[in-house]
Amino acid sequence: MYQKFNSISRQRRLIYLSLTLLFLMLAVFARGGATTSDQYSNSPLTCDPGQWNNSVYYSDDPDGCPDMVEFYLLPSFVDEENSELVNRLITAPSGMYGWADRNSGLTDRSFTVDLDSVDTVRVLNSPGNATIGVNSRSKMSTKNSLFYYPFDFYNGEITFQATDFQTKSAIPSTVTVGEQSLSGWILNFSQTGEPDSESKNKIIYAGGLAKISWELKRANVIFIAIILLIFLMIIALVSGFTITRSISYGNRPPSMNLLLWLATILFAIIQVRGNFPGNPPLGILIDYIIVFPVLSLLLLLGIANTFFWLVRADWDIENEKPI
Amino acid sequence: MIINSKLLFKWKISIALGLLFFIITPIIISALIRPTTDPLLSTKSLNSDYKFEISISKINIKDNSATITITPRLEGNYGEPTKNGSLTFKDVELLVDSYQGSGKFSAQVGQVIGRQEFKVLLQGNSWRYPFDNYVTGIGLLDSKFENQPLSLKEVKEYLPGFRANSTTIPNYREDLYPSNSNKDEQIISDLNKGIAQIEWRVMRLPGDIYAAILLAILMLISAGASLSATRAVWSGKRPPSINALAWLAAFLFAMFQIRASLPGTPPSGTLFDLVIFYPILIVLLAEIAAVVYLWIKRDDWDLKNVPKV
Repeated sequence: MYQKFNSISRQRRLIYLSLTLLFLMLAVFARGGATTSDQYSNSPLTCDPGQWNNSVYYSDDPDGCPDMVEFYLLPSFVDEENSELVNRLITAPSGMYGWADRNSGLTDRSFTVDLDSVDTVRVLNSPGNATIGVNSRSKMSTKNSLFYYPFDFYNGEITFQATDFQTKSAIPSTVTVGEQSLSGWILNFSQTGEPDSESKNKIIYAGGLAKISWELKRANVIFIAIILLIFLMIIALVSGFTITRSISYGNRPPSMNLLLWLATILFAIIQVRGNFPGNPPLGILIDYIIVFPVLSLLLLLGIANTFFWLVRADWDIENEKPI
Repeated sequence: MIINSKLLFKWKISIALGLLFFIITPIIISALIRPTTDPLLSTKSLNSDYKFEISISKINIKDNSATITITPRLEGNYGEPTKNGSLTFKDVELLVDSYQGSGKFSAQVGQVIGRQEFKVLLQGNSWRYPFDNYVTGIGLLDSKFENQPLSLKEVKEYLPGFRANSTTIPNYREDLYPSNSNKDEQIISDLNKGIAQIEWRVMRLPGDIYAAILLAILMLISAGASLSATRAVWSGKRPPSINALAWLAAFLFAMFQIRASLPGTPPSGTLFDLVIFYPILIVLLAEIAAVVYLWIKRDDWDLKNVPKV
């Protein structure tokens, strides 16, 4: 039996402590996706008895709701390939324009909805029909973009407008954001403006265009995953380097098994790169500063080991100390 | 080492029973846990000629949407059922609270009308995979109401990886119904007026949950096996070797393949990753680093097990 390390118990304690700290870090900082919105955007339009009676937006709706259109935004997904944030836009009319439902609304008076999307959309909602929902595809800004993955962040603005089909006048509108989180993303919506006194924290866009801004960045869990995967690559490189150094000094013989191990590691690194959350395309900053250098150095280490294996006399020599 | 034959027999029996339990459990669970249907959409559905079949036919998690299909099954004065739909004897118009499309199910007298699909919103996310669940729903309104109750029957379609439990919900506020009326009476009152609201709670199939748990156990067992091998090397019972390193690297490689094989291919960064996948990667990494260190430092590197003469 070979001599054990004297400091095993101390090192074991260190390992347990490190693992505990790591799990605590994961538990505290790791968060999946989250969607947040400001106080003006997170609650829907309310129609409490008498709430709108003195409002200019109220006519004589029996439900006590104002003549208005509520735009309800529900985050859907991030199309990273096309650099677009996709939200669902549901039109919920109230008052003389109709009433809201779960997935749409029912129209009592014709109105059109214009949406400032990548594929600019105009939708006509006719009386007696459910309102038509639209996919809002917002281009994510090109500044600080995917190249800086996972520290990329994006912002943008979504603009909508509802117009009375008969009078061609703008319909007062308001915007609400639904509680739908996107896996791996932190999305924040905000509106600028002052809410009307009777609207209970809702900003009313009387003049036509309703606007809402958004900011998008990756969730903490993505940072942790990336740090871990990068750490994995670096450990692989350091291990390969240390082993090759030991062989080059003549402390260990060059061996075919080692070449196989280096080849496995090389394949594993390519797998690790393919498992970056969100599948970012090749050519991002991390590729230039971590992935490509690690792959190149591992390849060089493989070449060096092949060279040692070919030129040295102790190739595949075995350690034959008797037990 | 001689193993007592009685003990061996007990072990064999235990392993056989364990394997049997392991194989039978998912079959039993899948047989017992079935998607449920609201009684008002199955056994207690209203007796009316104005019938429709409704089903949830697709779940798209990435897109946060679901597809609901409505098939007319008109009878009597309203029409005649065909193989895939109905021949209508009256104008039919059902307003459907769908997210996209016309939002209307309509047909004119003498028209053969088949099933139609409507896209609805799906709320929820995959953070708690494989125990993630979602909610979706739809509202129906008969705009040509002719005092004939709306009869709805839910047909369960196969949803790959998911099961959906339906519930009917009252359309109006509590105070708009007669006092002391229970939920069923409120919904029947809605159906008698040609209105319906249905909600589905969508969950993963027990088989998929079982498969995800099984893969998680496989990952944990792999980590456990590699941990005990590294421990033996660390404590000097076994020599550090390049073969051990290759084995650890192959395990690392396998972990990514197992992660990619999870049913439903959940996105990266779920709770499953945080609790199982990432910690196992960390453990394997630490083990690779430890074995490399020992291979360089110790004299028994790549030592063969030569029997004493």
